[in-house]
Amino acid sequence: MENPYQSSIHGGAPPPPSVGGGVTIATVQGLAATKPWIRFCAILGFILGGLMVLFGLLMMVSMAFISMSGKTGAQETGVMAGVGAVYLLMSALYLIPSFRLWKYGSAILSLMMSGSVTDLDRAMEHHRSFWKFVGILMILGTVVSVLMILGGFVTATSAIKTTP
Amino acid sequence: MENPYQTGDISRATVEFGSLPAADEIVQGLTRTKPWVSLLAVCGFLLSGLCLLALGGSILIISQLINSENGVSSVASPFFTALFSLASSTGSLFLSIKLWRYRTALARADASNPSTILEAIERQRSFWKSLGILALLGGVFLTLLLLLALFSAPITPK
Repeated sequence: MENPYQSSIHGGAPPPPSVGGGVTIATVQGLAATKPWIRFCAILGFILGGLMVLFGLLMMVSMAFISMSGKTGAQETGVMAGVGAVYLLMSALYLIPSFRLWKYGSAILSLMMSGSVTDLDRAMEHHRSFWKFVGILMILGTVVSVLMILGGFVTATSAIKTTP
Repeated sequence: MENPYQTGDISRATVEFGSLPAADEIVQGLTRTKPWVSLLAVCGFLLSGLCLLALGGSILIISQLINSENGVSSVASPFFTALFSLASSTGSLFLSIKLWRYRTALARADASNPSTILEAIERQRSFWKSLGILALLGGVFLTLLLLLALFSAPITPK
């Protein structure tokens, strides 16, 4: 007969690992403990991305109003609108990984509720997808930075050469 | 006999999950992220080094400004740059170490040894916790810096 007063899974110590490489409750508990921090980081990313969208839109709208009043030149307005557009693009770099991270957290929640291998696979896929995206972003960022440094160097060198 | 005092669905689901032979899925899922985690950890170490260089440059500028005619009054901007570089370097190094430890745990993860899987998951939790706390601290630091800049801005007479 089983003990009817056995403590709950979350309250008690984790049981020994199951035989044959099976997943233990402790493994799911470990992922469950990660979930709040994943959600928190995702929310911070959403806030940061949202602020960038707001800032970009504000910049573009305000420049549209200023240009309508005729106080600035077309070139200045264009530059400021361009900066606003860059902010909007940059916000995507925060929002997309945050969204993937949020999905990973949701998949962990589904795993906790259902305990199915499908949910486990989904969680692992979102996890991999997040790291892959951030990794590709990092490679692109590095390449762009190196190109910008090289461009700056070439421009500076040519400017020195043309100076009498 | 079933436990009449058992908690909700989550507990029951995890009990059922305990018998599933899904360790291979977890290990595969985790280890597939290893190259990306390694890359990001290395990039973090490099970023930390670059921030240290920026800190060195700022200190050099501060020392030159102090010795110049402008005196101490002009060092505010490089001082904040130095402070920001120091904070960024420390934070980046701390997170990179956490990420590298996670990567090491991923390399050790073995489906036949559940304790290695648990260690990898624990390292992952530790990384996200550190990132969350640092992001929060960074946000507070930047807000304070922004407020300081706003209130210390010179008021121009009309």
